[in-house]
Amino acid sequence: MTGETLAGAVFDAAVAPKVMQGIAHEEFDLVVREHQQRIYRVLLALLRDPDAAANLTQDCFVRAFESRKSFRGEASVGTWLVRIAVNLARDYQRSKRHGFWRGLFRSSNNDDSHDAMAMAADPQPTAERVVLAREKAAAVWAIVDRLSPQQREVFILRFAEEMPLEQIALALRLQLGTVKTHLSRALSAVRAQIKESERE
Amino acid sequence: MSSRSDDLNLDEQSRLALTDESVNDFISSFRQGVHEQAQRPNSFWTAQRVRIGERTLKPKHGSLGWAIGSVFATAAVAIALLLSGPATTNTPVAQKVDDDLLMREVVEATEGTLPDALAPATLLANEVDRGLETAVQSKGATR
Repeated sequence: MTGETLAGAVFDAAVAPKVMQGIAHEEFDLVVREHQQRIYRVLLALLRDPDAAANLTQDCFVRAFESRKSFRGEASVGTWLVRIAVNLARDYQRSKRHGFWRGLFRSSNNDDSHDAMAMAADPQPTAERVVLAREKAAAVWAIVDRLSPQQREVFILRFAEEMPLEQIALALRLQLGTVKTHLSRALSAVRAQIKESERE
Repeated sequence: MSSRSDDLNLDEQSRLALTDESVNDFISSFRQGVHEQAQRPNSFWTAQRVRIGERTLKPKHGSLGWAIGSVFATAAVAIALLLSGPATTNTPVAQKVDDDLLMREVVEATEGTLPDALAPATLLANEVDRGLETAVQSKGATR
């Protein structure tokens, strides 16, 4: 199977199950190539720990490869991978519940992701702009952090990954109505937090 | 707030989110921040793929490859033990006692009386010797 046919097939829900079940090791690399950035991004947003996100991205694809025969095509490969990633993130957070470091922006100032973000926003950032960008990012994450775990998952998949609600429901194994409920409550909480911070 | 009212209000809230400048700004900042933080050089993605490839190639415990590997490892250990030189043997106590008994029997057999199996031959030889002596004595008497 060529890369082109596989790359096309993995997005076709009707063909994907057969393709995934019979996929060889070499061909699986194409699936990794196609989805690795998104999976890493979801895990980083959920965990806010670059090392953990990198490790769990690998775990996600290894687990997907090992259980590829159980893939039934009820969701797209991308949604299936997001489901595995979210489950891994939940397990990780459960194991790190005590003492888990949660504040990316409360960590050391040496984290280059902050600088990368500021640099991307402005090719020639002044020190003041970098500080402002950090403060804004910190404020955004502080609000997202206050959401419940399920609200945060739905919020990240909806607004960071722009996934349709139906796909979010499949990825999180929730009813569509439940996804809507979480999203509605998350938006209400965000709006309230923004108003509160504006008052301050 | 009930789930039903949440469902009913979702469209309205989504519309509010889009029209509310602050919330809209918040969501776009959030999305931008998530994407920018997840940006990594190509070498990072390549290294990830290589590592995933290695891990998906690794044989599992219980597979044929693992079994073959175990056999080779066992054979290697056995060969190494054989090549490590002659082993120092500690003679067991029981074997030492047996050896002593055997040596004693050999000494007794060589130095002691003749075996019972040779007793008739000994008697015959003694009789011949006695007959010869008698013959010599009688010859001397007639002279």
